Amino acid sequence: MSEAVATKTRETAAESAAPARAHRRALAEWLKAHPNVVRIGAVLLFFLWWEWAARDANPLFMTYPSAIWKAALEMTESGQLVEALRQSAGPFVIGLALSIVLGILIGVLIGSFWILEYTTELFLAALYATPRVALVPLIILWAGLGTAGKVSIIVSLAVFPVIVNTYAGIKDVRGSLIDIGRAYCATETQIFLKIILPAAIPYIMAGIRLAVGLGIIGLVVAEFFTAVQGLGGLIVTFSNNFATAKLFVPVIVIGVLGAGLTQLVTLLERRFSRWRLSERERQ
Amino acid sequence: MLEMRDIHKGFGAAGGAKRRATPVLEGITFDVHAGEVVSLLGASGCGKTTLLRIVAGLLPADRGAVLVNGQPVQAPRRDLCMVFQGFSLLPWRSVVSNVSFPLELDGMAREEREAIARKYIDIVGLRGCEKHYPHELSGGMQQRVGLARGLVRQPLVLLMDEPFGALDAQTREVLQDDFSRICQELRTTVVLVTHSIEEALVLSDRVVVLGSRPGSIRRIVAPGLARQVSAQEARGVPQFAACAREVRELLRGVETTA
Repeated sequence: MSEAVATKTRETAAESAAPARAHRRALAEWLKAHPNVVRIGAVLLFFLWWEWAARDANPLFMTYPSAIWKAALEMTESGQLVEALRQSAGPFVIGLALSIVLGILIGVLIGSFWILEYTTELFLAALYATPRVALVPLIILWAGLGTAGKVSIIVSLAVFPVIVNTYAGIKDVRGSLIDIGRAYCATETQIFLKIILPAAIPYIMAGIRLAVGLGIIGLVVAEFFTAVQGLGGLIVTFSNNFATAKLFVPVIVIGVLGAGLTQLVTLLERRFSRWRLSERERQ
Repeated sequence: MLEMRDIHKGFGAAGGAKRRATPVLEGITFDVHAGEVVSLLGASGCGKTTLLRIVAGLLPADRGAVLVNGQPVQAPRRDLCMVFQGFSLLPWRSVVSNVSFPLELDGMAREEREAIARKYIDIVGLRGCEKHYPHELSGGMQQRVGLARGLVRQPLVLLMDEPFGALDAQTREVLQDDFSRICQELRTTVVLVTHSIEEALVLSDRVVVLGSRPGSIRRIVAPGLARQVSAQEARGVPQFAACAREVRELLRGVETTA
């Protein structure tokens, strides 16, 4: 009697194990096909763990997500956060725009005239290799502590990838494409505007994407070292006051802004480089 | 209409010292008449592409001259249009924009030039592909675009540099047939560079057989197949086999004496 019952239970266990395994495999397949679910899940898990682990830590040294959230609401209500964003936006936009315009201009000039290429090559390589943060005190001495100083610091960082990529893009244009222009009697200006520049656009966009990231670093550095203002200024103030929960608010805002802007440029980049990606796939 | 007068060309060592230059072309003289298809046939390295680039005004000759209606060619001319070997389309431009590119360089208004481009896209058999981008087209279709771009200015002479060289055998035969038909319809004058004996014979009125190192004219053959039958049918004509043997021996003879 008891033997029979035991056999029966074993059978049902075996029967239910098979569908369970199939279930698990289906779940794994589904997760693999939906990377965003896994990504968001990982972030949520991280915050949960952080909340749990840091609850009892000394608030002077460490904080936890719900405290940061409370601080963020407080700062938004008081207008402090919006004010800081407004202060940061000005120099950042001007600095990034200048970096893009100057970078493309300088890159085009260096890429087009051998004399400029030869004369600037070593300077560019040296400047590119130097940590530009080391030059911040000097820039402040020249451009002051105001907007001009901040913009200068941002440009000193963000202009380089645009220069280097524009230059590389122009140098990399295939001779056979330029031959089309020559064979069909294009003027030098037409060859530049209708062949060289469009061919270099994917490179230039990649340079701009790097410039966004470096521009944000430049902004924070500038706000640390010049007139304490904006999001970087908030970080300095709160860390001096050991307001650790508040300190994390501008840090996270900067992180999210950086990721968002880079993503935006990546989308633009894809839009402009579609022909190039698929051309590469064919080879 | 197009005359080549005793063309010499050498490629020198760095610095361009003429004395040490290796001769690439020597004493090339022949005429191309209006409406004629002439092939330049030779092994790779015989200078046939160099000769075409000299005709196009992309390279200067060391000696001799290319004359178009009696005027010497010194720079690229609007009435000599080139179809390149590797398709060479602008990859960021659509088909219609690629085909109308030469007219855009001439400063023609967009609507006018695109209307003309559409006409030639039709002629090369690509109706419906106007908005496509080069990477969306097969090799054969890309070269049809290249052909349409060459024709869009209604050139005096169409210069073609191994236009079917990069295509697979089946595509090549279809394209040769269509090309032959289009040239007859439009009465285009063509100078075609090729290394394929077969291609030269089925497409052209005359074949200029070039010897190697330095390239010089071995003989000019007139197969007379292109006007009578299609390129496909020409391969089956008895005359074709005889002609092909003759040209092959000419080319081989050159190689043993070199």
